[in-house]
Amino acid sequence: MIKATQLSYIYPGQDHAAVNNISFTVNRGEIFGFLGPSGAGKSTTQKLLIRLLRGYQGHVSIDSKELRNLTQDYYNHIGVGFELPNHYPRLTALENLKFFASFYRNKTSNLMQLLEMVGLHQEADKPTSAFSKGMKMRLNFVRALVHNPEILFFDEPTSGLDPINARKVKNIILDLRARGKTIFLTTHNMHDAAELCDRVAFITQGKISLTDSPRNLKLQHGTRKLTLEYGNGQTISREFGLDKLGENPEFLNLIKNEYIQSIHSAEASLEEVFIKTTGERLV
Amino acid sequence: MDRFTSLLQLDFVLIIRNKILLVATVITSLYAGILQVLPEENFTMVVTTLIFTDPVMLGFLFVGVMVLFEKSGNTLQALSVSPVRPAEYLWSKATSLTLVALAAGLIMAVAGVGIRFHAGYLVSAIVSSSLLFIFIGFVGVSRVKTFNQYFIVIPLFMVPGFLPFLNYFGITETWLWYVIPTQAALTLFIAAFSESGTVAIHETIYAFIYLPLAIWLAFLWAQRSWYKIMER
Repeated sequence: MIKATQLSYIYPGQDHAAVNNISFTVNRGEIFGFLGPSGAGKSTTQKLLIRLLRGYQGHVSIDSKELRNLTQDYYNHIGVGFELPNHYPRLTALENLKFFASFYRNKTSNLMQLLEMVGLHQEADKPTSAFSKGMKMRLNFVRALVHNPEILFFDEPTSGLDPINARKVKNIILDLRARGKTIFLTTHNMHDAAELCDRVAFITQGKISLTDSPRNLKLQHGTRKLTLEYGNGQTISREFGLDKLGENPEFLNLIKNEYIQSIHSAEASLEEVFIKTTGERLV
Repeated sequence: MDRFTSLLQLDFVLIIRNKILLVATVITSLYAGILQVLPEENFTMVVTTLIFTDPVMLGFLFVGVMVLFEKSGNTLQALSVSPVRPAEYLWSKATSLTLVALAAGLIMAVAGVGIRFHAGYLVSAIVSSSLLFIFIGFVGVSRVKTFNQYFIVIPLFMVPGFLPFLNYFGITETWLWYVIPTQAALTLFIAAFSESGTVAIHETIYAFIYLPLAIWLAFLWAQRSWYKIMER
């Protein structure tokens, strides 16, 4: 669906590349996460993919067509949720959606339903200047969906949201994937990435260091062991290797005869993998 | 509704909600009031000058205000990832603000001289000078982030635009100002309020050829500035 080959970009007036010779593929119907700290080049990559920035080097193809050759019609097929709110403050939430919906040739979604999906239906007729940042972000998110696009780009979609609304947004993203949408997600939130993405790419200083599924990364960089906590009144902790665990008499005896408090496998977190492979922290 | 009509509707709503129409009404009323009490001496010259400055200022200032509102709200970024083309965006702004300027200019003309003006020339003059300065205004506002910065930029664009008045007021007598497109607009304004309704035929031809060309170049410059904004 999206294929970038040796993609590079240097901002005008700069002497170093913000995106430096990166290659990746996003398959149809997958959620692809672009992870990295601030200034790593992930937003620049997204801006290139949505054609806010032009004049890149290398190749980017969307459905096998070179991005630089696409016309304005490209925007009928993609939806973009930016990291920062961008609404007309003196228009209501519904007016903002209506005007944007009218720019597309595709049949548009039911706007009140979209607002309801993110809990804004009761605020539909309020000007967005009266909205909190979280409300504006939710409106940002659903505006990307008004024209039912095939490809979606979300930049930090849960930024500024409380846990309940972040959950709503993540459920909608998962539902979009279930409906066959292709989603490009840029974030530095490793929990969101681990939960949502089919595959992730780590980017630091404009370069991709690793691409794989969160599950594979966590398993590959973890330790094949589990920690068992048991005991009645006190907590005793034991570690066991995962190999031939079902034949380990001590383990079998403990889970048969003791009061088990918890069992944890020791796969790495995505954040640990990131730090280990890139040498950088996510900030 | 097609995309351009939607954009136009959006711009009219923004013109009203951002109180641009209110400000234009106040300015026009003020100008109309001044025209009512002008002395007889050099009346036509003063009317011409005042009505000339109105669409120029309205166009340049109001496009700046509208774009700065859009820049601060990041809505330009949102529009730029929609099917809206930069040319559609610019022409929508130009059309909506020019209609405001045209209404204001005609009201002022009626307030100043009644219906003793040549409508064809006046409408051409207001529309062309408004379009020209809206596109130039967009170029100016594309380079700044705040209203304060914009007010510093204004003279850089406006002062050269008013140089042809030096000939009109008899201070200079040079063909050099004919290079400046506002000379062509001024020619049409003079024709609109002249007794005979005509200026020299070669001046009319100059105005009607040079102004559309200048507007087109200003539009291309504005369109180029649109992409520059996105790169920042």
